[in-house]
Amino acid sequence: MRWIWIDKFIEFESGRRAVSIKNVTLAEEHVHDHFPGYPMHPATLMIEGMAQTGGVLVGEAFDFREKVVLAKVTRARFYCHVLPGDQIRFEANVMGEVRPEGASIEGKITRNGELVAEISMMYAHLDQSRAPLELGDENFVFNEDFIRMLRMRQLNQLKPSAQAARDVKVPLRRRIVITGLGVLTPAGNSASALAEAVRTGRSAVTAVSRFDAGPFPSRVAGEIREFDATAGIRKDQARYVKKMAKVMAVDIQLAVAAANLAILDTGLPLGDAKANEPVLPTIDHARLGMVFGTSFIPTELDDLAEPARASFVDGKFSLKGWGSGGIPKMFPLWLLKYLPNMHACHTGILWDAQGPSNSLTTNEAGGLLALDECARIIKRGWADWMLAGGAESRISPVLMMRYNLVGRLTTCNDDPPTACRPFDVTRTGQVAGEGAAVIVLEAREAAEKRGARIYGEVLGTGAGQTTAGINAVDADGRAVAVAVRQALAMAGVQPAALGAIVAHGTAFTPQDRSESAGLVAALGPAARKVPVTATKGVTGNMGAASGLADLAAALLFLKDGQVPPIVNCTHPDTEAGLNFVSGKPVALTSDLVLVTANAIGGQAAAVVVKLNR
Amino acid sequence: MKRRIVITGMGSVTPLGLSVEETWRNLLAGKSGIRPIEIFEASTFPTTFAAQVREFDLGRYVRDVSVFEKAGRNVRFAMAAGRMAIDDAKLAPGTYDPERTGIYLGSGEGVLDFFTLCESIAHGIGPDGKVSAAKFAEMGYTRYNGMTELEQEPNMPANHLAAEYGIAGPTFSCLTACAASTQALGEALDLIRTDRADTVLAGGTHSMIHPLGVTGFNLLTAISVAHKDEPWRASRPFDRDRAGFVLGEGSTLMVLEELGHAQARGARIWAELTGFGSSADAYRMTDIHPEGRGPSVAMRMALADAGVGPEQIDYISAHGTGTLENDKVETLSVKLVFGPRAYQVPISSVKSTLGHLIAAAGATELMTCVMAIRDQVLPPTMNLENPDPECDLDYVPNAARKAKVEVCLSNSFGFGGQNDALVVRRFVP
Amino acid sequence: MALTYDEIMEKVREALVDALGVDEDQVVPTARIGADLGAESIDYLDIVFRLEKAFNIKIPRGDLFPDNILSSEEFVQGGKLTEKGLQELTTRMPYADLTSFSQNPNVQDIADLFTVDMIVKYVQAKLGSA
Repeated sequence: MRWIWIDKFIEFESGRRAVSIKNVTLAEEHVHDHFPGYPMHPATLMIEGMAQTGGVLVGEAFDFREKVVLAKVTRARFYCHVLPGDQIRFEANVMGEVRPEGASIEGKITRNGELVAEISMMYAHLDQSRAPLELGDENFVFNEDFIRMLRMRQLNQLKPSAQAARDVKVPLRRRIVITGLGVLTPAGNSASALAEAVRTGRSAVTAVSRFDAGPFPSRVAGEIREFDATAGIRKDQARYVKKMAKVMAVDIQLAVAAANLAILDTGLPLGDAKANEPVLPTIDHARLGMVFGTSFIPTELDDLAEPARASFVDGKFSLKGWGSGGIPKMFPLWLLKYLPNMHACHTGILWDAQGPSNSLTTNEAGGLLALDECARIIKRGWADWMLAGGAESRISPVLMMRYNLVGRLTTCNDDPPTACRPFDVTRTGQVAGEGAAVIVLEAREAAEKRGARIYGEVLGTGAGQTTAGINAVDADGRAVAVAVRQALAMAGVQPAALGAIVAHGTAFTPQDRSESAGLVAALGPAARKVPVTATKGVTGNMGAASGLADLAAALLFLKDGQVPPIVNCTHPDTEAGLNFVSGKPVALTSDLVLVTANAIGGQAAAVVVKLNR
Repeated sequence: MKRRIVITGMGSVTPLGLSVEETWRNLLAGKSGIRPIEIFEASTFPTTFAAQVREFDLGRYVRDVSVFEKAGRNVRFAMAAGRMAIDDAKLAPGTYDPERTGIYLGSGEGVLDFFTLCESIAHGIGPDGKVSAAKFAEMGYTRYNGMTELEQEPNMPANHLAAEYGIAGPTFSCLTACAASTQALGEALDLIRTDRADTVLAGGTHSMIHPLGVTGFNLLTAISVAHKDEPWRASRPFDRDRAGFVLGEGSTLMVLEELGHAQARGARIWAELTGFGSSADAYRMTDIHPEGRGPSVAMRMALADAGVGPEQIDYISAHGTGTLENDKVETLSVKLVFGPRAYQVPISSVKSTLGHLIAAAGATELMTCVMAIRDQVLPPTMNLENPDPECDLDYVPNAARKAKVEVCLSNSFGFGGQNDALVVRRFVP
Repeated sequence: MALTYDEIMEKVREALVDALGVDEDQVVPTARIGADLGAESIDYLDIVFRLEKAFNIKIPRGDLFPDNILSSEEFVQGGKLTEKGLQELTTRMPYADLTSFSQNPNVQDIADLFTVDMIVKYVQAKLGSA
């Protein structure tokens, strides 16, 4: 006799719900032994049947790679006896989602619709990295016999029931992978260019060349010298970009360019424009959406030059003059050129993305918060492909003046390549930068179905908020700590299991200190061990593009198993309590990576990814 | 099981009142908030009127007014709406975990220092007509104030609220034009459903009644320039002679809370937020897809998310801006979703008297749905005098109406093609 | 010295190329601004702005591209223009070629009357009367 207490699965919905049946017959030996003279199917074996139904459901969610064990029977209540000749039905529903550390299920056993029992249980994944036990490689839970007998490999072909079909639009557990990267930074117009610059310690910061920065206290910047927002896209798309250039401030152009690169990088085939095919004929455009981190873009000075001059009355600027003389001189589409949701608007039109579209104005945390929201949108079943983006240029007279006035920018202009020194004791402030980064998140099943290249998997995201005031940081780094704790908890990752941290590290002392304190608070003793690196020595502060550019680059620069040193950090701030990588690279000890970003006075975000190496 | 999310507090500052109750009372009475612009000298602008918040005193709502010296109207209104929402929810310090409490705002920009900008630009114009950054900065540095500059960033209302109330959990701020606060409330719902927070202070705040705001919309011919002498007639949603929207300003914030959390602390429950839908037109920058593709998808998603059919909706709060295209396409979209029943579901636009609160519009309109459920009465669409053959639904014209109201749908569509919809219903335990 | 049709055409072409991102050879007199050159509603504002600058003229709102002519039932019935409607259109758009449109005056085809030729003739008249 085999210790299997279900006969077959009849409904199966990956990660969410499974239904199996068991026929109880008089020929089975066990029915005779429970109460001699009164053959019945014992309740304990029904618990085991439910454990197997739920266990397979939980195991399948991670392709039977994890060893799933029953950790706890939270509740079990029986209402009647089951006798030979009965067919009983086990229904298991995952509560919440199957997480890397395990899952809980709610189960119900019925016979012809009549309730037999209600059972809830908890499962744990006995992964070697998460348990002190030394276990062999063999999966003793889902061994070949078990899999063969229950034909578990075919589970996904079972049709969901009518009820499940209604619910299937909102599956509770979906895994999310990264399948496309589009990055433009001062280091070059690809994620690999940034990764290479970080690896080789080559800074792209120079003296400001875009305008005459003579009277500005800070005169260094990470500038993007040239880029082509039409590279690689279809002719009809290129025509749109060309036409719309007049209503796209540089932030918007950067975002569109990065989004194009990211989508092209996914390997999704482009449709034939001449044959009138959709831009991405192999996907459902209603299930493609995006969330961008953007900022309130300051006007270009030249746009207001003529109108401002025409508004002077008796040598003074006047609103009356503006209304009568200034407004008629304004470019009529001026407003549209600067709206913070136009990055997503144009990208959506170019790629016919009809899914949810949002634009977050949460400053430097914008990109990673966008990823957080994108992940939730995929998880709630509203999309299969989401573009998480961030774009910003801080190299404009208005913004450099703003951040100079509030004292965040460095005034050390003599040696631009070493001007931005994150976590170094000699740091002097931020360097204005610009960039755009778009990361394509894809539901894992969609990515696997099309055989996509997978850079990594998003395991957890987190978000926190500064409470110290709009131009201050939490001294204890609480915002960062809250974000990091959430991300680790969602990922089911212990701090010590992290292989590397890519920190925000802007080189503005209060911000660096606060971030360090937050990381220490969230990581505990592991803070002294996990290597921390940072990229802004290369690029300067790219605002909303920061976190996603870091993540995209990290997916590449960590690939060879080395954590590169922080560019320009030669005398790491030892009081911070973190393991800053300085001078030379250190070995990456696990594929789990934490990336953070934060805005002064504002939001903090964190994401935990697993590299696919 | 989905976590259930309820509304336990509301606060509102609008051109029709400095509280939820006052705004609601004036809406039902059909009073208009639209009058000549007083905030700045607009007499020579193409549009000279707007719906402004009046007699507003920030000191009533914050601990220390000096913190807000350089803050824009968006921040000020949000602080007031936040204070009222939190008081209304009886969320005293100690009754919530700051790290399990978040903020999600659809939030506009602060007001820029327009005089300094224009004078510095004019100072910087060179012989070639271009502005020299160096010359611009020469004057700019002597005039600009760093804090005034910072306060323009659209996440400032959220940052100020977090500082005032010690909120340290997930905080977001979005700006998807006129859809922003509907989207904010919808995504806030998801933050609680996915167990990222128990409580989220969500809604919107905005004022575009500043020189560049009015200029920008005037240039796009999006706001009405008609009825200069009787500005209260200028906002005419669904009317044949509609000619653009009228700018409004204000803030509405709500305390969204997980049901168990609310019940455990004995909170009063206004209503349950049950559905959210969101889509993009992906069509054109400002033109709406002529077949109502995006709006109908958003409405359908919201109904499905709430688990209700079109036959269960008692009232629709329209986006109803009063632009030619929006009202026509919104009408068409409602017909697509509701079929023949479209003619039986009352739908009205409070923008006819409130003006368009842009990023704060959606939250304010959701608030009116909650009040409609409480009082079993629908707010009217005012100024609907000459029917448009293409807008032939029941718009609750010109007078409030008693009705059975259990479940409401609230629509918001934004420049740039974002479409969002929410479903709110009477709370039944 | 009045500008010739071709001279005006040259400047109109430049304005349309800048506003619509089209190629110069697409801008021929018969080209329709919407259907052939891809203008959306905001582009009409931009075109007017550029024409005003290029020719130093003032174009009142709705003068070159009339909007909202036909909200009255007197002018439109069953999606088609009435006799009165056609007359109104002729008055409002004196430079448009209505010959083929009047055969089957569908309201939704009005946008097709906005052609490059119409713009050039409008500017010509505007400059002549200035």
